[in-house]
Amino acid sequence: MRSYVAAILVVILCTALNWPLSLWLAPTNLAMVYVLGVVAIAARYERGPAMTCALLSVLAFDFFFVPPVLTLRIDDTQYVVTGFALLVVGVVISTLAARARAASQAALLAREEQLRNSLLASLSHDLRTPLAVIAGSASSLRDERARLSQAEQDQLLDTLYDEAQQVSLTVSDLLEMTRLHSGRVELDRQWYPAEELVGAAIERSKRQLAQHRVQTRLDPQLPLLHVDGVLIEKLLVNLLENAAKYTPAGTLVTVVGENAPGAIVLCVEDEGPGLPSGDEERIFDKFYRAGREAAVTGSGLGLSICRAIAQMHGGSIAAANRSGGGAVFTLKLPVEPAPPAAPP
Amino acid sequence: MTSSAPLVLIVEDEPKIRRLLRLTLESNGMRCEEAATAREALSRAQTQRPDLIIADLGLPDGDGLDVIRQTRRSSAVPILVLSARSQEAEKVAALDAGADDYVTKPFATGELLARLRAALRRALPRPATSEPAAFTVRELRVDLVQRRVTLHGAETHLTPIEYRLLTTLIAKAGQVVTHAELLRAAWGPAKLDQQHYLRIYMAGLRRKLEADPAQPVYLLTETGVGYRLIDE
Repeated sequence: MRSYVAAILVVILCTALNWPLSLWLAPTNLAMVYVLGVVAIAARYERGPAMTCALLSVLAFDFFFVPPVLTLRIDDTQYVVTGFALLVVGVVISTLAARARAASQAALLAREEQLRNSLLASLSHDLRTPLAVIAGSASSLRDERARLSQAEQDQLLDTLYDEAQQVSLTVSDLLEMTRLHSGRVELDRQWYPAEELVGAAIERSKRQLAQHRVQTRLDPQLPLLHVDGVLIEKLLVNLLENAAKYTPAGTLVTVVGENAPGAIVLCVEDEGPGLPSGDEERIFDKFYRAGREAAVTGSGLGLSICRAIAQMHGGSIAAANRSGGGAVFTLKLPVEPAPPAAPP
Repeated sequence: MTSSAPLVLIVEDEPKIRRLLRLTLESNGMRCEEAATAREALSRAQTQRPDLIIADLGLPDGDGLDVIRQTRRSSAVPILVLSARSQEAEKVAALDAGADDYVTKPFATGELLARLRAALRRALPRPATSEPAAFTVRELRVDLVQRRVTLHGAETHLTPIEYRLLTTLIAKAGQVVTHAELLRAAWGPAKLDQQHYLRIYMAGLRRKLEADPAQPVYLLTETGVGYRLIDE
């Protein structure tokens, strides 16, 4: 109902606008003002109000501006053409707008559908695989213990523990992603030395990084970061665990912190195989996983969580291959005015 | 099992987690009591006089925080909270309410036992006259009488505030100490909202005590909660 009222109001507005213009402009030109009105209504509302707007525009144009004015009579045939053209433009535009809207809605639905499908695929893979391993390892230990060597038992126990951690991580990634996308997360910004957040992230990734060498290179001149420490730590943990997962044991993982113009940059560099070329952007998509068939598990949400956290801070995150081999993930955070100095 | 074995009250509404905790604790020479609700927890805490309480915060008949607060009114028993990751505000609330430390679920047994031991050790009755004279962990030694800090045998000079922060952490070694506690200890109650003072001084302390301040070994960060000095 409101859309029809808007259509009528637009026609009245166009008429009011045309009234003074009619002193200088030929009536055919005034028809263009009505076209604008019809376009506005078609862009905003459904086909019905747009057609109504077009029809009323033709009538108002005829009544107020086509001589003899204040009648619906048309003496000059050129205005029949103008009026007809106005009507046709109205119909075509409203049809096109409705079609475009339907198409974009369909695309949106298709994207949601695709996301839902990949969510289900991901869940079934990322929860079922470790759960199958957990159930299998536990039943071997229960039923076959007598036949298993101590080393084999230890191996099964390690597997049990690691896979259970994996399930837990997948579930918390899903929760975290849902939480970050709900728009209800408020950043708890505090001033942190980069060193403290980097150190806390390395400490938390210690188990995953046990087979790697870890090194930091932080510019001592780095200003304090004004960030939500828990979230930035989570971001760094995801990058470190990613490096641990995709690079061979024994290789070096380096966390770099440096100043850039207007930004503070934190990088995680590795010596692994690097990113599949062309995928530098796609890896931040939800449920993307490098080498689908590879025996790498994880929620496929880690990097999209990183991106969400970076964006919430007004920063950005990007991935690239290093010239000497390996991948580098770069987090850029805007520089903020410094906090009051510490007391003596 | 001897009666000198510490008695742990497990407050947890999930029977499977209770069973797991009981199994773990009993195989490590402790005795266990269980409570599934807040009401049960409070009455057991009164009647059984446990040496330590492990409490889950989500209970069917009430808030775990209330259990902590009410227990604290009449008892100094160490309380260890079980909490989920990324619930830092909840952890801080529990610590403020009087809990001594927390363990993040899902927990590894080793970590749980380390926290338990640290809490029990701190609660041991100590003769009032004999304050501990020194604190030693790995290569770090702090002489609490002479106020001397040595690392690998070499003396390290700390500023008065750094020393106060370090001794506050030593008093609860192995346990988390919240930002608020450290701020209060170093600057008094006026600066409680100035966490970055604390972070800057902790960074200074790390530069003096850690081989690589970006990969600390002694002074661990519990982001969003506080700091923990290792004790073993």
